[in-house]
Amino acid sequence: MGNGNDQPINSNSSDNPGDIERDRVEANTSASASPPRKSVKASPKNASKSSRAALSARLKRSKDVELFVFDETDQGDENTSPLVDVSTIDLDVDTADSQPKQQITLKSEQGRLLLLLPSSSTTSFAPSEWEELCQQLTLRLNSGDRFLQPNTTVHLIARDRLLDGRQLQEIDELLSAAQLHMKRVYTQRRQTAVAAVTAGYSVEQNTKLDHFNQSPDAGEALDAPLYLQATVRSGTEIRHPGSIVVLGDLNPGGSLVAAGDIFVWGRLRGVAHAGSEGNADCRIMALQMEPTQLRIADKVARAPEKPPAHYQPEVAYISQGSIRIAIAADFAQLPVDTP
Amino acid sequence: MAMNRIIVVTSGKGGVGKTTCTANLGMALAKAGKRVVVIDADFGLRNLDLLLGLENRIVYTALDVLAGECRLDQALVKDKRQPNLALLPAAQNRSKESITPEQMKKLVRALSKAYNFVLIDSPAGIEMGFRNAISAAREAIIVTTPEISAVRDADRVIGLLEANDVKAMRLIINRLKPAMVEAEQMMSVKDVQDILAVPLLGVIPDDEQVVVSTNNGEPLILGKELTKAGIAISNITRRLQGEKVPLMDLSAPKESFFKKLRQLFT
Repeated sequence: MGNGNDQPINSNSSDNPGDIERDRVEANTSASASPPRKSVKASPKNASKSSRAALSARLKRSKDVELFVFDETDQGDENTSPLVDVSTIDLDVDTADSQPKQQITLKSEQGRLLLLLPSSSTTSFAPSEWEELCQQLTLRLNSGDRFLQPNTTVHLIARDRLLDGRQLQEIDELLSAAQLHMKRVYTQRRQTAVAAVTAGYSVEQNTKLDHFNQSPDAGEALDAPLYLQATVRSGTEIRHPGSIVVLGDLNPGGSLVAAGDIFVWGRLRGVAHAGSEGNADCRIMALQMEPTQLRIADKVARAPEKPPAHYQPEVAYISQGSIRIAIAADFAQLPVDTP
Repeated sequence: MAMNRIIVVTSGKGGVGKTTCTANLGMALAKAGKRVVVIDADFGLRNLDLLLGLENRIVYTALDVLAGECRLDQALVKDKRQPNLALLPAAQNRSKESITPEQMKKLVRALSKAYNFVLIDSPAGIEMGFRNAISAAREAIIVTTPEISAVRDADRVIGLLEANDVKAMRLIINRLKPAMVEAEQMMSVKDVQDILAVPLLGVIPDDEQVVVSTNNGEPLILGKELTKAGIAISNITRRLQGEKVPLMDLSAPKESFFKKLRQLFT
């Protein structure tokens, strides 16, 4: 590469970050491979089979501490199946209700804010899903509050999700805390419409809302960048169908997943996945690049084992089939890659 | 030939050393030539990957397997230092409700076909995460510290395990301070056993080195010279495999006390 300022880091295809070993598990067919268990008994009676009460009584009689030792008869099963190759195991999983996790979207349109609830195969919210959704909304509102003009009108796009009065009120309270006012609710559900009318919102029911529904065939154009002023902490995952800009740190255990670029104006220590829809031209930029893992499109990489003496802004990008990191100041001067 | 072992490591109370025990036992069993997979059942607050130093190798998690997004073997992270050891990581960004006991069973049963030992690291508490962790287990290792609260919680967990038909239970008493026991300031092994009445698998003395190894992602058992805690774990591993190993003498070295005393006067 051009001026030699980029350091190659361990990277590989998507199910193999760096030098991670994924050798096939050897089928262990010979019984002699595992040495036969010695049959030693700790006590005349098999402790694991005696009831707790009996054991308790025995313990009270004996002064010494009883030590348990397994013996063959403990296992009590004649299952003698040899080990199989783990890669041959095919779990028959039910993928029907496990779509990729959708997140709530907040976007501006003609001076209003649209709050889009994630679509799902189930119409009503499970308690855990609702809690997660409220956490997401709080994070979005708190981390973008400098741009949220007070008294902006919010339209809630509920799609076909069922919302009751309490849930509408919860959303309204979160929005009110950011000085936003929920005015109108779009829904395809009569039940939600009734709840919204009762709570005093204007309601549009049965609108097809085609332009709100981001169906997969709606096009490939990316959303506007998501701007967050926040520390993305462990356990938080932010997904966005566009680029993500974080003014703050990405902590270990946190992750950013963007269809476009990722820009962290702070320390990047968690997992960042740019070009999540497959765009290998996407980049990850950070003031201080010390990631747990970087992913661009279908490539995965770990950071170099030895951290640099001092950090400076860096850019991660794909070159010659693997993820590389270059110093940001030099990156602009690198020759454009030929594929 | 015995069937492959499915063991849940649980405690009730948090912070008593479940994950540390799981990581070290897994590593020690693998060192002994067994094929071992450790499963992090602590969805939402995963730690096992950190203790094993494997965090940056995780691409898929158990949830991705269950969602059909990857094959089971793709989600397994193999340990570079010990190829007999694999980790099935938990998802960090989901709640404990995102997986059901049935799904857990399916995963564990499948893994038990390919590994001699399946060790399941249970989350603290007795809620959904715990129920998931024990759902597929055939045996349980109860970890407790010699403290009233930890023992109380362990007792509750033992009851729940019995109710869920996990009858083969063994006890590890962790972080024992022999000097304090001698001064009758801490519950003794006997005290703990009197309450819990579960066969003892081993006693691990308190050891500052554990903190170091945790922070380095290097299980204690990998150390060149084993500390007392490391020896205790290695003994436990041997007992797990059916060997008869006497309990280590943990009594506090008395001479050092006199030495200190002497030093005071010189």
